[in-house]
Amino acid sequence: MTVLAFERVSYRYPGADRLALDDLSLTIGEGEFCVLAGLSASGKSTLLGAACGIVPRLHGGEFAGRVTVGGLDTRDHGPGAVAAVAGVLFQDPETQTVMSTVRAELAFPLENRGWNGAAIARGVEEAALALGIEDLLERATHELSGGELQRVALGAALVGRPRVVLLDEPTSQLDPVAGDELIWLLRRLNEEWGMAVVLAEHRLERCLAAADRVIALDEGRVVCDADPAGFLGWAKTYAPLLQTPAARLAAAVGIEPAPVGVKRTRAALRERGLLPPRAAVDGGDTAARRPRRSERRAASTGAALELRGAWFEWPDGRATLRGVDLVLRPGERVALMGRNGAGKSTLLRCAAGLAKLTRGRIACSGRAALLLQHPADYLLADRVGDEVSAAGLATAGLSALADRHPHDLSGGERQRLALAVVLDAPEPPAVVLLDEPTRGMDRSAREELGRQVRELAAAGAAVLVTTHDPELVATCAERVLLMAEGRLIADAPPADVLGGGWYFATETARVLGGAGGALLPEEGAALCDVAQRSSLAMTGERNLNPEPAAGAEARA
Amino acid sequence: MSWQLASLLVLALALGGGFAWYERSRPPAEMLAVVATLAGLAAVGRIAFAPVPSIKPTTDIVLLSGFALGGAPGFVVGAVGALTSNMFFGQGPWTPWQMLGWGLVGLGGAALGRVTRRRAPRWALAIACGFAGFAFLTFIDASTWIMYSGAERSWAQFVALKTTAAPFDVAQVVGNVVFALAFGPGFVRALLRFRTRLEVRWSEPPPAPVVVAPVPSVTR
Repeated sequence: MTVLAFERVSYRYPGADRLALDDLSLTIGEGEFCVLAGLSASGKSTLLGAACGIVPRLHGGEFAGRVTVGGLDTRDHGPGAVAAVAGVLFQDPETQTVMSTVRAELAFPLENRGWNGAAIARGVEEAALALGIEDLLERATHELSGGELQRVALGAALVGRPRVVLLDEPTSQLDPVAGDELIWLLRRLNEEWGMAVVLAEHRLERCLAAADRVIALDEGRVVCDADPAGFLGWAKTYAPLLQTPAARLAAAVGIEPAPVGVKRTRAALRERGLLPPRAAVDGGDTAARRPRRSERRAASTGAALELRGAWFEWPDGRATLRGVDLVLRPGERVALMGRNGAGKSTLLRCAAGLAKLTRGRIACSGRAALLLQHPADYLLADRVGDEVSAAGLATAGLSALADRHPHDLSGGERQRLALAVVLDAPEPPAVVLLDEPTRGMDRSAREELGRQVRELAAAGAAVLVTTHDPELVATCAERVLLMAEGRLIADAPPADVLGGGWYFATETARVLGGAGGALLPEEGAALCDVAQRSSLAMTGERNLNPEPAAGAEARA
Repeated sequence: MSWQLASLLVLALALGGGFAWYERSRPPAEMLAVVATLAGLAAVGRIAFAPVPSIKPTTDIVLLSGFALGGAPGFVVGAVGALTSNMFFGQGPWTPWQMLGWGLVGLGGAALGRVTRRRAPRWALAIACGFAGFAFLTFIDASTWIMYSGAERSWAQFVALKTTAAPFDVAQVVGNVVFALAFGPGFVRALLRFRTRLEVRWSEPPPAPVVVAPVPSVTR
């Protein structure tokens, strides 16, 4: 029984010269959990839009072929009718919530469908329990954190019991904890209630282990349609940019085919005696200590950005920054991590002068370029080419798109354009502040961003990036700050913070248990080679495990 | 039949016709939302400039809406804008006149859009808006003349009315031209973007490529 069928669908956005979907055929069966993979602008969002009927009805353009969702043909049924069989969740939950309280938000779709009061009350209760948001029901939607709001938006999408749920990068602005929770929540809904899931995601490492099937798109065509293991085998040869870090680690040490997920990769490494001994859990020294007075004096001469005892309090007394001491030197690349609502964005806003500290001091040695979370807010012109100078456009790699409308770009392209806008000034910035810049970016764009961050730092700017993406941190930061409840709770090099964590850890670090502080697959592979050599030296046999690793594993 | 009754009958027919035209085009929900927003904007524009007599962006908003979106939507933006803004200014026998007057402005905008293929330079939009302002006020003055001039109705009365109103007409025309010069092209660009997003060409996929079985060779 199929819930979603594409029959030879081609679609062209108005004024675009190439097809966004190119003669695409696809069927998704009842109860399948599908992940859509693909680089930026490969057609993932367009495919999801076509599946819920907003493409082409809200985008215009030329549409050929037929999309059938739960038996409804989107040619004859508008998005309103399709919403009864397909729930949709986009990147920004803020743009999807319409009511002022959670209960009203969950009830809204049912009210629109004309259910009676008792049925609505029951539907709301069931959806709230299924998603674990029953204690949020009376809260106002505007005061929820991003993760909570995303779950409420998912609840509103699911309250009418759709047969398929379509999600466009739902975890991209969630912290690792909330992101993982959302994926496993989807898996549970999928297993227990047989709801089909179609999920577009760039960070495949997060969702591959939960998926039954991976569909890779390129230029609007399906280029791979396989189970996760088959997909990883395909990606190794044809699309190296879509490989997960664990798969790259496996490939680097010669494990074929690449195992799916952290647990299986670790098992495969252990089987071959490649798993290095786990790092001891000793706490380490990652504390963000208050600098001594002599250090402070030395630091404040020539600091690009300095915060001293910074507090930010709301009129009702809640504090989002509680005595933050921080010095950024010119040329430093610093990542700021922490869960949703920890105070990261507030710190950036205060640093750029958008918000005023209620206590404490802040000093910035020059212009602070700030890019906030919503890139569309920075785009004002009708043409991409009018947003920034030609040089800025070339740096962002967007010269080919100069004639497009900024709001027609894909999420990742828009983010790059907004970054170009804030950097596009004659005077180079002393501090560059980026708030979650990797949303909607594929791996090549993320690597490009990492390169740009290094260039900005080399040119003398202090770069402070808030992110939930440990892989980005591992590639471009030299110092990681971890924030919780408005305080800095760690301040150390990436290997010390991300190697030893559970959630704030790269996939490689999770596979290797933080051994040797290896964060990237390449470092991990080097470490595995060493482990292999030492185990060979010890036992003369290839397949024996190093003892400490096996012991640690058994306890874990 | 009195002039008042006859004119109200004509107004009712014209307004009914305009709304029926819009309804029968079965606009999708997206278009309804755009039209309602524009009508609201036209009303708010009128209310925001309430302290300044005659200088209002409303006529410009209605004309440019018609220019970008077409006749039926333009008519409805004007008519609904008049009706809703009079919730603030007060309803009366003038309401249907203003509704029809602005509705006709929207139609005029649509005609201009059709003639110029929706590509008109800034100055042309400004002239059109200035002219529309004068035409609209003349229409409203005519309504005053028809409704209130009493039994001894004469052309001299109308001329006197128009002469007294001249300063207000000039203010309206100048205001309209300035507003159109300031935001005309930008407003049209924004609306045209909506328009392209609501225009869908549905087509059938091209026939599947027929797999030709290899023909056995006949020459030996």
